[in-house]
Amino acid sequence: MKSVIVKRSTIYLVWVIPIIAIIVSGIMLFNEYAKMGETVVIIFKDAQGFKQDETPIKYKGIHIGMVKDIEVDPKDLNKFVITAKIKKSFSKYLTEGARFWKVSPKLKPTEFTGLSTLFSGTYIEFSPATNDPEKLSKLKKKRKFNGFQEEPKTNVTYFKLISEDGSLIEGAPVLFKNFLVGNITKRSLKGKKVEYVISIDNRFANLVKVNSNFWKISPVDIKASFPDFQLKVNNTLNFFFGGIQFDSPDNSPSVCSLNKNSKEFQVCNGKGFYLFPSKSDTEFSLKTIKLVLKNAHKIQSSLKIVYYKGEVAGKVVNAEYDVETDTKYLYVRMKKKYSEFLAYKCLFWIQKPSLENLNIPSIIKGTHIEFAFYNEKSEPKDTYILHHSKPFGKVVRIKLKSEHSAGLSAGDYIFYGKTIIGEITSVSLKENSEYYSAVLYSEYASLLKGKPVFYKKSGFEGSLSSEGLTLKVSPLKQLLLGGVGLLKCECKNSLEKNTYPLFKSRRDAERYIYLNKDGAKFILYAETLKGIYEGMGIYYNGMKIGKVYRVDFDREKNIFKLYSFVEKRFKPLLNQNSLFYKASGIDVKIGLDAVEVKTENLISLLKGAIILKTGKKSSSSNPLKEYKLLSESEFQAKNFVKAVLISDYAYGLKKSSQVRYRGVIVGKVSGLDIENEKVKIHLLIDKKYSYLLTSSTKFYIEKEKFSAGEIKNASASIFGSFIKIAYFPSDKKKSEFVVAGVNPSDTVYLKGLRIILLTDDAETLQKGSPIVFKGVEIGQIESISLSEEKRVKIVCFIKEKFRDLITENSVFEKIKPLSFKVGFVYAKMDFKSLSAMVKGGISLVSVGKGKGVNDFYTFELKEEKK
Amino acid sequence: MNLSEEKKKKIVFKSWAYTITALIFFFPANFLPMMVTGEMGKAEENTIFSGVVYFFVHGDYFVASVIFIASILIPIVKIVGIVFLLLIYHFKVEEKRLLGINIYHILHFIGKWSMLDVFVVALMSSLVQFGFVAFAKPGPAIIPFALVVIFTILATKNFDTKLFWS
Repeated sequence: MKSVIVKRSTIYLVWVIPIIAIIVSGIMLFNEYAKMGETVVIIFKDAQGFKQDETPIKYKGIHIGMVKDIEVDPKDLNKFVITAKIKKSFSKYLTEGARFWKVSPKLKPTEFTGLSTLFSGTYIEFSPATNDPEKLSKLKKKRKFNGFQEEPKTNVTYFKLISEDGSLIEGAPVLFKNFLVGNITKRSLKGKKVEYVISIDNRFANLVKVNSNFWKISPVDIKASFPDFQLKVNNTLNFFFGGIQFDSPDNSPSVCSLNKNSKEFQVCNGKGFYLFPSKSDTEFSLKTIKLVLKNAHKIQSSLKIVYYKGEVAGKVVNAEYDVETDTKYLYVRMKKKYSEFLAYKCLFWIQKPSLENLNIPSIIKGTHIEFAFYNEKSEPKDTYILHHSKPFGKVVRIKLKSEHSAGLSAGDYIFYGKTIIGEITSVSLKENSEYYSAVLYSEYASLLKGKPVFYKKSGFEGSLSSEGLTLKVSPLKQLLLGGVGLLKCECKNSLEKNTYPLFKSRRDAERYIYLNKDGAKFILYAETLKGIYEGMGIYYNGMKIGKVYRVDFDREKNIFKLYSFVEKRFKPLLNQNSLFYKASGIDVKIGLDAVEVKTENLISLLKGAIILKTGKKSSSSNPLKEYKLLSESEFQAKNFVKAVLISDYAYGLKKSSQVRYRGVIVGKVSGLDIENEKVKIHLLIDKKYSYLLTSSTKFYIEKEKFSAGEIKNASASIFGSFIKIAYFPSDKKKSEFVVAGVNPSDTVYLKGLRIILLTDDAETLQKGSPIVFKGVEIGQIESISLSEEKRVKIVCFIKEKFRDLITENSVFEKIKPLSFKVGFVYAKMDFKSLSAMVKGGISLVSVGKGKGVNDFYTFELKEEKK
Repeated sequence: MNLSEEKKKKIVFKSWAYTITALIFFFPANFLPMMVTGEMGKAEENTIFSGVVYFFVHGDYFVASVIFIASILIPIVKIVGIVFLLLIYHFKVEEKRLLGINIYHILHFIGKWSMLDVFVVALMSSLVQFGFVAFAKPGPAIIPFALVVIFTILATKNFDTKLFWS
């Protein structure tokens, strides 16, 4: 039994083998199934290099799956649908955020990647969204992915650049201050332009600002511009591949905040930056404006640069020439700082090197484009006209008419003072007159309101005019260029509208202006032209009021006609009784006191002048049209009364010495001669003062006198000796006088008390010595003479207000000069009394009691008490 | 010399067990990769059938058919043959006895050749070892395949034609 059981059991034991087989096979098959993994779909834009069942999916080098199928999306032929199996163990990582990308060998300027795939072939790299299991469980499962063409960079930001050419290769470096911050990720052709996508490390992405400038760097930079030359070799990395450099203004906002979920080439900046061909280009605006140059054949030189007042303002980037219309189109990019000026009214013209700006830079610049703008808002335009010469913007066009050949040419400037206010544009000849077309810059157009005249400027302008000798030397530029000057005139202009006279010299213009002023024009008839010249001034009391502007000869009457002009404001001076006479240079010194007035007319002193004397106004005040020009003697006869003064000695008198009455000049000495051993002084007394010439009137000669202590007759010392008249009314007229012996004091005419002091010795007393009371000067000695008793008779003048001080019992004492030193109190006296130190004086010692005194009451002058 | 019931039962049981085991191992042998070959770093796993398809697609019909016959057809034929023999025994179909003997001899004969595939793999694995450039190594299917062959041989060996006459 036992054995049977055993045997049976061994027989059944055989079945263990298939059971084991089932288990083993099951495990093996399950393992294989597990290996087959999850099916995922990855969509690529490019399936090159992928092979069905061959292309592995790797995670950091290990196989995690295999491409099982490659198909083209029937809806979009640019999409390739890759079906792949991923190991089961990795299926949990197939979530949102997981990425697949293609790894193929790439040779980049900055790195070599995917070298191993050279032999192994392209594969797909997998990267899970995160390694953290907790986070992983929260993410959604995903079985469909978009594949990247290359490793997506999570820590970079993408920017788009638009360029004119595509010479840079993918992977070329992007530098900031020569520091590598990223590289070119993608290059593609968009329309006519090349679009680069650059990736910049997030650490540096904020360096890209809104106003950042990107430019291409080439291995070698050569900058050659006057006056410097630069050769810069960039670092070797760029040497082979070139690259992109950028800089950013500090005060510009960042383009974009960090984009963490960066998908493929999701660029930060929508429009993209412009990639400038070189650094110097970054200064230029992107906007291209078009300049149209007509009659382009006239301009032979190539135009490259646009200047604004010597600064480079723009450059010509492209030029086209239309043969049929002979028009040249220049495409210009302005510098950024100048491009905003395009919002103003702008002008472009071709500037040729000219004499005006002849210097080395201008020669180097050669023919170039100049640019200017006017402070006038305007819509920015795309197209501007390029003028052949400087356009005048807002100008006023005028014409100048010249009777003479002025010898000016187009381009000559018009000056006002030293300011260039316009220029001549063309010359034409019409009816023996030269006509110049000219423009005035609008800002100076107001000068035309002054109804100006123009004259040809010459380098030197010298003239001996009634204003004096003037010599003007223009600045060298004007000296070389010549030009036209403008003078305000307020003249009536007989020429047609906007036409102005042009004179051959400033002097002509000035005369024209002068004569165009409102005023009186009249003719002076002169018998002789001696000392008379064109332009001779007409003076009234030393003031120039007009001049002779033309001299003519009337043959019939054998007389000279002097066409004369008197300014409007002096017109009232002219009336029927007006007299004109010619004063010779020296004769003009009619009143030497008036020298000050006349100094400005020094020229008239030298050259003589015509003097106007206005007579009394007659009933008709209208000036005459014609006057006779009197000679000096004729004039004097009409205006002065003659008198003769007999003297023993001339005392320094000379011709034109003054005759004064109460300090007023009433006449002058017309001549001196000697007759019967006496000096005969011929006087001319103004008619107005002829009443002075009575039989009682006395004449004195006031001499120049210098003495140690004083300057006496101060005016005489300046003007020389003069004649003084002491007038005493009388009915009898007289014309011949004898000089009175004693020269009266100036106090003679003053009201006051006159007393007589008698003494034996005059000592230092003299005319003018003071009479003091308690230190106050109350009067002075008027005259000293000898009385019949041979005593010294001193006539004293006491000022009216001190009259009451003098009584019958008043006592007078002499003051000796020495005593002044002792009496300190006198030292307090004013300057006049200082002269008393020399002159001595008289002191009113005591007033005394008693009645007041009458004129010429006599006192005894006592000696000073010690 | 008749076989005892005991003996008969033992033979039949063993035969069935071996055959079924062979049949079980037949699945992993065909679904798992037989050989992993590598070329320039990229590895390729080949099952028996994919190898056949590979050669067939590439026009090597002879090789394809040899592999197909040796590795797929013969094991199937052997298993089916033994099952057929066992069924003859069970249902005592006397007129098929001669056929059964003939089949038994055929199975006995082809038994040793069916290891061809294993030899090929063994040979390749030992000869093609150039590391990165090219390599061949046995896949997981080699063991079940070998077991299929072994168990079919065991089944054949175990079977006794005397069973038909007992």
